[in-house]
Amino acid sequence: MDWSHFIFYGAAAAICWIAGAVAAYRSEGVRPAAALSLCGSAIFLVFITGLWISLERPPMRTVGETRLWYSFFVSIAGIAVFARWRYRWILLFSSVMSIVFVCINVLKPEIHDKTLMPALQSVWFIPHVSVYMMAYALLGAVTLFAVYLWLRPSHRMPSEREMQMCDSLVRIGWAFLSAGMVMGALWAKEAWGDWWTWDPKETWAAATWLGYLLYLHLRPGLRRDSSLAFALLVFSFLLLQMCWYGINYLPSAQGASVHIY
Amino acid sequence: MAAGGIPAAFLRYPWSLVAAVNYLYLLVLVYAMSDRFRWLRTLWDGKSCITSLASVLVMIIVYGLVRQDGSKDGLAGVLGFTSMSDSWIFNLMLAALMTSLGIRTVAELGRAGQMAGMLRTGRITDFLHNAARTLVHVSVSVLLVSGIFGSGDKVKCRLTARLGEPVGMAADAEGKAVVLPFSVVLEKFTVDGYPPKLFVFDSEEDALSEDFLSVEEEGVKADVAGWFLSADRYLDMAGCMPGDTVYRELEHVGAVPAVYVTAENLSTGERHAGWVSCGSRIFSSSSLALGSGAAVVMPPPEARQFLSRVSVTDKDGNRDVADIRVNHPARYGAWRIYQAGYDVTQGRWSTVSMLECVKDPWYFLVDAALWLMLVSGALMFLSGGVKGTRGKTEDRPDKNMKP
Repeated sequence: MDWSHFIFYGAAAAICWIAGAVAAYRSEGVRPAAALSLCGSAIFLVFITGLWISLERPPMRTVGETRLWYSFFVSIAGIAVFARWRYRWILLFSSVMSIVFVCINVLKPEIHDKTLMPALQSVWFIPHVSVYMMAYALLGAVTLFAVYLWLRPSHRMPSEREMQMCDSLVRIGWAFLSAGMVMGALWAKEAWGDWWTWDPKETWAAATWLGYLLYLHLRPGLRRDSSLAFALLVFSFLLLQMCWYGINYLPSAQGASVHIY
Repeated sequence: MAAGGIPAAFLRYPWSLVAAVNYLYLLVLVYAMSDRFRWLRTLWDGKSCITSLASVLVMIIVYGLVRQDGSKDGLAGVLGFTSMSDSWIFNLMLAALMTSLGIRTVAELGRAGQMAGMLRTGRITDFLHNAARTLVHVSVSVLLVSGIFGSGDKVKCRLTARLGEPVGMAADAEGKAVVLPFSVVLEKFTVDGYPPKLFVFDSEEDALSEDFLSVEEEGVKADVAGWFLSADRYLDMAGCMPGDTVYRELEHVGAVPAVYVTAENLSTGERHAGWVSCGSRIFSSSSLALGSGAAVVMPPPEARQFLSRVSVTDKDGNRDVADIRVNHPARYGAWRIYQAGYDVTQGRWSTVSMLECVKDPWYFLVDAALWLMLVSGALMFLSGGVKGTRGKTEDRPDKNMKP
């Protein structure tokens, strides 16, 4: 399995995800839509596993490889939210988001070689990256949901249930974000003797973590003013993107981060 | 006052510990007195929490946007934002957040009895939610307290160990000598490398091809930048004598990997063949010219892992032998010794290993707080992100917070 096979697996997964999203609108039950979407995620996971075996290392080293996990986890987050809260549109949103990242990887393929620098050969590598990608996926999903609630054509005020769903997703996403940061700190201590060095990646990770933490603390006082809560979610997601790939282009981070790849 | 930097090692043992203990005592005292003196609540109420969180967030965004080069130029330099972790403004805001969070943590711990009641009455989700929140507050408080009060106690220094030579001195980041309580002797140094890679180098673009041929064994082939490359012979340890054009197997210091490669142009069928090697201090590198400024080249193979076997002897003559790799430091008393680097110009033949010695007396406290935070994340996930029924009142500490 190598990168040239990706387009086939990506296309098959995309078809299943779209079919799942359509089934969510057409059928009454949760199972047909969830099963189709899970089928897409399973196909995607088969490619990731095959790539893992052929590379002889986890495909988590390059931005392109992290995009694979992001597509996978966004689809899983979409299915979980659909199964839990029965929002039909979430599968369409998560499918589109996953497919966008599949397309980016198809249009901008990266060379994936087997080398893994010594610092990345740690027991923390796989859990750290996968937990972060899960957090990004959940927080991406809640951002989409917030934008929908904020700008939907009906201009209807969000219901208590809708806001609770936002809060729950942020809480779980923030828990994953915290776990990712902690694992990074434990790994950093093993690798070079510091828990935290204010490397640009770490700085923006702290900003992202604080942004969502601020949301969690502000929400009880913003029961009527949902716009500020949504704005904070969108802003925090911008911080998240700066942390994920934005620092690769940020002038202040050039030559100053060991996390630029 | 607000500009400039906080001197390094602002607090050192025993004053760091004395200050931390007294600070914690004050936090408990403020919480206990908050009923009698209502103004004390402004240190840890909802507004204080939001304000300190938002202030630190803004400062961290500035931290990320301003290059941290310690420059004194411009407004950012004058305000100390180019060396943010030492700046007074940033540290005062962190201290405000730590104080607000610290008192809140004391309040959370004061409700342990209520949480036990939730468990007894079977309100598991409420218990999980409250336990997660309390643990997050406790762990972040411990991290901030130990980060701020313990920063001056950490010693980090680097030494260069040469094969067979004892070293008892190291240098810190500012180049100051640090006397170690032990001496280190490098007994053995080994590098485990990845297979060599062959690239097509374009001298007009001054760039290597994106594709490459990884030579794991003889006979491997690949299309690289319009050329079909075939590794006909592969010698892991080889040398080329002066005046010779052929590489031969050689088990000697400075031996290099060498590949006899055939390159065929995919559009014209033009063929070239010859030896390619990355070279070393003993043997010069070789490339295969393909015409038009292109050549097949082999960069030095990347290290998969490198290992230093060291013996550590303390002042009483006690001797320990340890293997140190990246991500696998050796522990010696309160010290940890890390693999930091080696002489890359000598590659696998390096007789030098760069080691970093770190003494961190607050290690176990931070380690415990981080594991606690992982547990709290797991509890938050298990409670399904559902807010506990008591959370509605507990999120407003200024209203009937105390039990």
